[in-house]
Amino acid sequence: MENRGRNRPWALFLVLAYALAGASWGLVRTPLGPEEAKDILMGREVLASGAPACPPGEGGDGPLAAAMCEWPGTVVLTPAAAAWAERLGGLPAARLASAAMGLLLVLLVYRIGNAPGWGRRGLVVAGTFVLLGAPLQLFATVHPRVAAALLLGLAMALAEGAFGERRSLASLGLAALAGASLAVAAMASYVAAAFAVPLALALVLWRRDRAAAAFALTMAAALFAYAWIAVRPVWPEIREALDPFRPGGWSLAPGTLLRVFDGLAMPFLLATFALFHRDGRARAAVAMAVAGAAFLVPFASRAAEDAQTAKLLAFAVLAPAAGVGVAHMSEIFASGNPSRRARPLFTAAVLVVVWVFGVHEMRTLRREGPDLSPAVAFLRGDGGGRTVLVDSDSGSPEYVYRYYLEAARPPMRVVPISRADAGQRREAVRRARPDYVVLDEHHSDRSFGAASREYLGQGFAVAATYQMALASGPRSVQVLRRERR
Amino acid sequence: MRLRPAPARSRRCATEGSNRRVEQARRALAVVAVAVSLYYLYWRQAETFNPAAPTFSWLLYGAEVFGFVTTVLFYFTVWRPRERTAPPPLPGRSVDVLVPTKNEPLAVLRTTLLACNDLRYPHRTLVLDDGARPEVEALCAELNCVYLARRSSEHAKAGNLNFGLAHSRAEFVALFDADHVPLPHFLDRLMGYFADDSVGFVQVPQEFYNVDSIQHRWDRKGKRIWAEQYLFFSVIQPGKDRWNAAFFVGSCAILRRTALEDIGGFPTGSITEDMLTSIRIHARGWASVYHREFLAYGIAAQTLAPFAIQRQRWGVGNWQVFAKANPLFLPGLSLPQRLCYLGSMIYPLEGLQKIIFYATPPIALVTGVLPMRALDAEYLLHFVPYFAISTWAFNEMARGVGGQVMLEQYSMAKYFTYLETLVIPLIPGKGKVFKVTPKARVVGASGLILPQLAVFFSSLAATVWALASLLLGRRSDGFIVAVNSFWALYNSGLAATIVGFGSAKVRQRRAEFRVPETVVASFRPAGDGSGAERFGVVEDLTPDGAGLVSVGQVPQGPIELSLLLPRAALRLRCRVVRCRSARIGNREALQLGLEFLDVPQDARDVLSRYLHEAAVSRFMKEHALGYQTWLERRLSRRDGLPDRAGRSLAYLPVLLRERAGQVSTAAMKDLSATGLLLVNARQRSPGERLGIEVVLGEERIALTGQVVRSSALPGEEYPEYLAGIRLDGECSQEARRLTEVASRIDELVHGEPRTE
Repeated sequence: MENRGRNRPWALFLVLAYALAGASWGLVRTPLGPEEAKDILMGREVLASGAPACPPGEGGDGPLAAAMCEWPGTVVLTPAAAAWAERLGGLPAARLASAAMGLLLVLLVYRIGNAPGWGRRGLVVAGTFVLLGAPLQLFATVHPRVAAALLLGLAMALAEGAFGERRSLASLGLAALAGASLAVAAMASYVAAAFAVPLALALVLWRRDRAAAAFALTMAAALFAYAWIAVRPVWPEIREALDPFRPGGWSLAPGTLLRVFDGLAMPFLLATFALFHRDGRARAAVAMAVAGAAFLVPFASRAAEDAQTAKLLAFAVLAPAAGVGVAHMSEIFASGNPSRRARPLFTAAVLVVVWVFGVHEMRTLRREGPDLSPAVAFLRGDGGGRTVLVDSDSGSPEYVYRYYLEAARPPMRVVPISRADAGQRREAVRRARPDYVVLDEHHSDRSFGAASREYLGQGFAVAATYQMALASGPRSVQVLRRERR
Repeated sequence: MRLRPAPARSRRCATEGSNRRVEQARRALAVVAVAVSLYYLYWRQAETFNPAAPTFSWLLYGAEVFGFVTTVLFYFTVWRPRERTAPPPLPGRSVDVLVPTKNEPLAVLRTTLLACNDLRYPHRTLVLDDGARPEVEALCAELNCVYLARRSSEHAKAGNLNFGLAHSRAEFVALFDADHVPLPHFLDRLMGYFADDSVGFVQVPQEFYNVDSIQHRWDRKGKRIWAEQYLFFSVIQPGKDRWNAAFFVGSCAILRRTALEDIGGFPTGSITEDMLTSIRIHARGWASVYHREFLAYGIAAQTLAPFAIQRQRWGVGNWQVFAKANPLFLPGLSLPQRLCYLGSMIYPLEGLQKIIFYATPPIALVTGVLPMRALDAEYLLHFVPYFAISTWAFNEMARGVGGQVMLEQYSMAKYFTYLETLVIPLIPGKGKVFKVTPKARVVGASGLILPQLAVFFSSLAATVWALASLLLGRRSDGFIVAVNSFWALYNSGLAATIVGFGSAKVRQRRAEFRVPETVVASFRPAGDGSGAERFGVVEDLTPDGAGLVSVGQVPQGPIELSLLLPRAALRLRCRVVRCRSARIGNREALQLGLEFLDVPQDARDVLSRYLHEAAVSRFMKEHALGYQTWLERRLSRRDGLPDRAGRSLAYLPVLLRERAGQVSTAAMKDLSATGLLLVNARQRSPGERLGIEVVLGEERIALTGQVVRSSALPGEEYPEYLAGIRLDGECSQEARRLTEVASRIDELVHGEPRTE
């Protein structure tokens, strides 16, 4: 896999082909996730109204509008594109757009890895990146994170170009472009901002030159303008959405943190080896420090989607270091071996281990979100009413129901409640008068059985129960139907 | 007696070039590493044991604790390595040089005895032949050495040395194994230490010149050599010296007779009589000195078989010493001495530690059972910093000669031998025989690599099995499988290197290591006195042959070679046994492998002396260098090799036009467009102008330049000097053309161009 300056387009083609195959596999096999559904729904509204549905100062209307207020940059940049693609070719088309961005990111990672500072190891770097598996699975989902990762990758590639450029003006220009790209990444996903700041800081402290200053200043200026124009008006909504400001927000962080840590353990482990390699050890240290920002994200948001975004961005940042780590590992394993084949063989062996681990990771990630399609199919086929109350304290499954049921003929209305107490639930049932209640096992203040009994006492009966195999274990979803009087 | 200054030390000393700040920083780092390790071991014991696999957990933990204990003992030993400057020699003392031998080849012994005879300090040479060979007796008669042979070989080497001691009246005895060739100033450099009456013995490092042995490694640029024993001789022994605990290693040492008599002569009862001698001498209150300068060169175990024999002897002997003179209880030792000896005696237990490390990943991969509760992020958060800081601290405390991966490879090579040493002393009648390390290459010992093959195949098979299970969805512990697979691959890499390296050494065809050299030679067809004389450069040399680089036609038939050694020109008849050529423009560059024919004994002796007293020293000085550690790079002035960027190694003969119109020869070592480095017979002053004619076959390329630096090469008996020349500006075009030629020649000689 190692090219060390030699041009091997067929090997790069293989890497891209594997990335496409992996992403396509996920694209077809992965059930629609709540964050994907939310993205497409938001995009549909943007396409319908021609502008974000959260006018500054007005706070928007309804849960989607609230979400749009929380993520103004996101709404402008990616969901509209996703909704447009979805309109053309359904969910696979929307996912394909993400996968295409993912492939571009692989190319950028290859380009970064081919920089002299990383020892011109583009193939090993890109190969390691795709074989790690998780990035491919994340490419196959409709989410702004892929665009953010692409922009982050672009920023890194431009920065490498800027620091390798001898001409002062070109170097400054590339650095400014890199800063701007990073700022746009932060607009695509706030999580990227968590990486942007340490990256700029690290570059300034490490390089201490005009290019680094241009990079940081451009990024700061763009982010400031964005914050002033777009974020400031909706700051109250954003503040409300951020976990630390919610009751118990901090206490929920460790669980998400552990998930992030587990997801990033392998690239960090590989990158650690790069710290001992003659090529790019300082870069590896910087990359690890910047990727460490992923561990801060759970303290700002416990949302699973943000954790996944943090993971993908960290993968992109760590990819070159992980690739050099693979090279270093195989150098250690083959060190002193008189056979010329020893090193390539050990490189291949390490990559096989990474590949098997990556396949396992892809499977795990695919099973991280629940497959709600059986419940959706039941609701669409039952014909017992038009209003569905979705009661869950985990994630936002209501977007999946909305994606499918609002498009049903006749369309159904989905009312979500989350983290509600018994009184609020009764009030929700009284006001929405749902025909169905969809319950899952995740409740912060009661057991699944207790929740079910509550609704049974309000005139509902269990209509269907589904077991879904998740990476975290099997999970039940119950559909309760209002009994006819 | 005429005393001369000795050549500069052959390797960067432990603390030279790394100033006090570096030493303070590395000691602080060691303290931090010990603290981190203590916390890690506490956490491991308190939090991580797998209740479902207590034995497995304890075994791995035990191996880790053993590693910690040996590391702490290592840090203690090398806390402040002692560097000594040789005092002026004591005049008028009597010294006998003892050379014990049993079955070493006569040629090896002859070289040693020639060198012993060349020792400048007045002495007698006593050959103690346990093989009672008439040819050795004849050799001793020829070389004026005293020949002594026992009737029995009771108590092996120790008994032989005692026999020699009984026939000696000298105040001091110097000891050399039959393959250890001392430099002429060996005694001069060391005798001064005995001005202190408390000094019982003085030891110097054992250096080995056959750097193609199983114990030696070259770096990727072919510029530096690392040997498995460098850590011991370059850092551990100076560290022990600080605690007055440096030990006698059986050769390359001078011992005071009264100290030996104080302990009843060389103690018997252990096949490592050297360590037993040291511990007894120290226990009797004598001081020891370790002088870190290479003053003798020997022959290292060439292949895996002699290496294993040697290490088994050391391991078994260690336990015998442990039983006879336990450093923990032997009266008379200081606490630091006890700790230093303990550290040097328990190392064969490493065999147990390593087999646990080698077996753990396959067990975990196949059974899914871990010696810890979970191999998760929390574990890595503890393990990675502990491992990283421990590795770093070890490298720093090893002062640049640690070579951790290489040490691990040699641990892989030795682990089964060490396991054997734990068993052999328990078997009645076993382990009492002193097996001499074979000096020739030993082949047909393929069984020796079975333990490494076992590690290789078990690690690989377990990895494949676990990966397949994971891929097929039969298990879900992806991270555990991946980490253990990496560990298993690492172990199989160590094993593969030893198997491959060991096999490569067995396959090596050369009987003797060819010492890289740069000597100008002229040659012409043999028996044709009128034939045109051509010049070339000898790039490697043994008493039996040479590698010659020249430009021109391949000579037909035998040739007559004039080797232009300093102070001696040797005429040798040669046969071309190998020829490689490369076309460079309209010239043909040749690398000829020459076999010397019918070399007279006196010429062979001259060659042998030159090789061991000059060429080996020069070569080792140039290549046997430590690496700069991270702290040294950050905190101290740069030392080591000077930066001469972009210079091509050159093997070109040169004619120098001296001021008086005389012409002398020189060999070009390297060159660039702006300068070159010459080996010549005269010390030159900076600023001296030189007319240089580079000989390229029939063609002469004239250059002019100015000497910018000059330094003497080691080997006082054969004085030669390096001269750095800055070429005049008008020569740059010619020099550039020559650089291309040199680069192609270098490629021809070494397979690929090497630039400094």
